[in-house]
Amino acid sequence: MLNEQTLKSAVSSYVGTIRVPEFDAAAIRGRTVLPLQTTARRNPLRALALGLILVPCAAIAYTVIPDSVKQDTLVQLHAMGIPVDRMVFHSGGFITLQQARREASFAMVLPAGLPTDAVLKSVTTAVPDVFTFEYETPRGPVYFELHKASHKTYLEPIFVAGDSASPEAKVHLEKFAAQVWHVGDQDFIVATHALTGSQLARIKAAMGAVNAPAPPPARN
Amino acid sequence: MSDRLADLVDGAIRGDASHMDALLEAWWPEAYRIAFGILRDRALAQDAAQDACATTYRHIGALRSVGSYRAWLYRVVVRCAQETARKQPHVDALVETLVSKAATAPDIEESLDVGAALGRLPHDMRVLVLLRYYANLTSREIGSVMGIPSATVRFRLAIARRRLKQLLDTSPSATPLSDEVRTRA
Repeated sequence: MLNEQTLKSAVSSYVGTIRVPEFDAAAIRGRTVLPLQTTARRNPLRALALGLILVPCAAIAYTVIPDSVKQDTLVQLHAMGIPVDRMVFHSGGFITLQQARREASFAMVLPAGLPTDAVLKSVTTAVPDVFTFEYETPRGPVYFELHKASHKTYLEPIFVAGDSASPEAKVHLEKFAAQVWHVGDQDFIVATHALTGSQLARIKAAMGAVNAPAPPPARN
Repeated sequence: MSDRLADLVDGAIRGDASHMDALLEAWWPEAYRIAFGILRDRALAQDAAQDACATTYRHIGALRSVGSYRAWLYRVVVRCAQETARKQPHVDALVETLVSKAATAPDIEESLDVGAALGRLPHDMRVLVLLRYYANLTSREIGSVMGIPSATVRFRLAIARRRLKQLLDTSPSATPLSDEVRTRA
C-alpha cells in the first residue's frame, strides 16, 4: 500500500543512496565568472546587421513552417512557463489537444459553462484515458477530471485537497466527492472550492451532464 | 543541518566569504541528489548542481531573509536542472528506453524500484515528488519553488502518487535503473 509515509520513506532512501561526487570548489568558482560583454555590446553594428537579416528570415520561415512545428514551438513555450493561447497536453512528452482527443478511447466533452474569468492553465494526462484540466479564477483553482465512464482510476476530490486543505474546503469537497457527473461516454468531476453551487449547476447544464448512475467501481 | 545551513546562509547574505564557501560545500550533496533525481544522469546532474552552486554564489544577495532560504536554494537547483534537461532532450527518452528494456527482461522477479518508477514520471511530477518526499517541503514552499499555487501542487502530487502507485503495483520488475544510469555515466 503506497501511503504518504511509505512513499516518503521509499523516496528518501532511494535518493539517499545516490552517490555524490566530490565537491569541486574550483569548478564552481569557474562558473561564477560571467562573460563581461554581450555580443551586442562588443559589436553593435554586427548585431544590427544580424537583426536585419534574421527578422525577415523569421517572417518567411513562419509562413513556410508547417503548423505542426509551430504547435510544437507553442508547446515548448508553454513548458517554459510562457503563456500561449492554446491548450496543450503533457504526459512526459507534449501532445496537442487534437492528438489527445484522437488517443482518448471515449468521446471527450470539454469543460464548458465556466465563469468568464476562468482561464485554462494546463491540461494533463498522467494516466491513460484520464485527463485533468486546470483553470485559474480569481477565487482559486478549478480542476476538472475527465475519464472514461466507470474508469477504474478515479480521483476523489478530497484526495486532491490533501491534509492542508481548510476545514471549509474539505466539507465542500466531501460533499462534492459524492457527485460524479456523466455525459456521453465520459464521467467527470470538478474539484474546487472556488465556485458556488449555482456556478457548478451551470457547468453541469452547459456540458449536458447528468448524475452518474453508479459510483465508479474502484477508487484510489 | 537546517540550523547550520541557516547560519551559513545568513553569513553568506552578509557577504562573509568563509560562510559562502562553507554553505556551498554543505549544500552540494543535497543539490547534486536533487539534480540527479530530476536528470537521472551523473554527468548532467554534476553539471546542473555546479551551476546551481555558482548561481547561489552570484545571487545569494537577492535573498532578503533567511526564513525563505530553503525554497530559494531548491528553486535554484530545480531551475538549473530544468535548464540542463532542456539542453539535453534525450535524457527522458534514454531513461524511458532503459526502464522499458529492464521491465521486459524475462528473468526479473522483483518489483520495479522507486527510482525506476520516478524515472517514468513526467518531468514536472518527478520534481514535485522529490521536493515533497525527499526535501520535505510543504505545498506552499513547493509552489514557491515552481511558481504555481499550493493547491496546484497538491493536485499534481495526488496525480503523481496515483501514477507511482500504478507503476509500482502493475509493472513487472526491473533492475534498479539508477545503477544502469550510473554505469552509462
